Amino acid sequence: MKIINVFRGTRDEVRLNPNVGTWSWLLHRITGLLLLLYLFIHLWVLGSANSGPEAFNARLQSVQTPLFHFLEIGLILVVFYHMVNGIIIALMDFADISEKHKILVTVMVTVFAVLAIITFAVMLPRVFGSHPVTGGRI
Amino acid sequence: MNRTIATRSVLFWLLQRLSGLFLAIFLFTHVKVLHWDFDFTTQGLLDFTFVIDRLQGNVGWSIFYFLFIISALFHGLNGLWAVVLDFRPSRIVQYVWLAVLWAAGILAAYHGFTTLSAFFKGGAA
Repeated sequence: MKIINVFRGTRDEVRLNPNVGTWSWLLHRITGLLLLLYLFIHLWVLGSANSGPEAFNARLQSVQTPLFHFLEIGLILVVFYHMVNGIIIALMDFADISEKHKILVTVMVTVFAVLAIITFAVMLPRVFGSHPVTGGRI
Repeated sequence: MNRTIATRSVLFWLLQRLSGLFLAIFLFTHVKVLHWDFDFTTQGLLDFTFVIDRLQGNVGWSIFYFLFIISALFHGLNGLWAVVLDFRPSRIVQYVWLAVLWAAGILAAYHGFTTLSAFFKGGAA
């Protein structure tokens, strides 16, 4: 298995089936890989608690800069996309309603949009507010 | 495909769906508590004291995060296994990859449980 074939196969899949299901499948994979990578980084950051409070605070503070708070919004959106799309996949598998895929996608996009709007409304003003340590804005 | 492999595949497919549904509950709760409700502009940055106040001696949150760690690692690593299987790797690559994923999962789970235990006890062991 050549590594380049991995990307070729995915590209061919998107070319041969350029429909909403293929895009949601591809996005589910990409967001899943991002979340797995984040999970390991998250465990590494929190694991500094094993070295004492000072080490924990130092490492935690390094990922609470204005830039990281901005990126955090992207993380939450990735979580919500993967979550909502995953629930749709489980529903299709368990409830045998795959013929209603287009309706389910509409529901998924609507739920995701609502969650994204709440996330932006809650978190974006904080990013552009004053940072408690640096006092700076992004 | 022999019967053993088929049964195991179905079991892992089911566990992937179930762990995903559990994760939806865990993640929504986690996001709400630590990303929506917690406001760093008024409450200051997250630190050791904040985490300890929430987790030290708290059985409920500890069980919550214990199950969270297991579900997330299983779901993520099993998902990665499925991604690689889609590209039909050779049998030897499958065995190596499976061993890597199991090793990564066990190490990460141990690391996560140790950290959770430190928080529950109120400091490093």
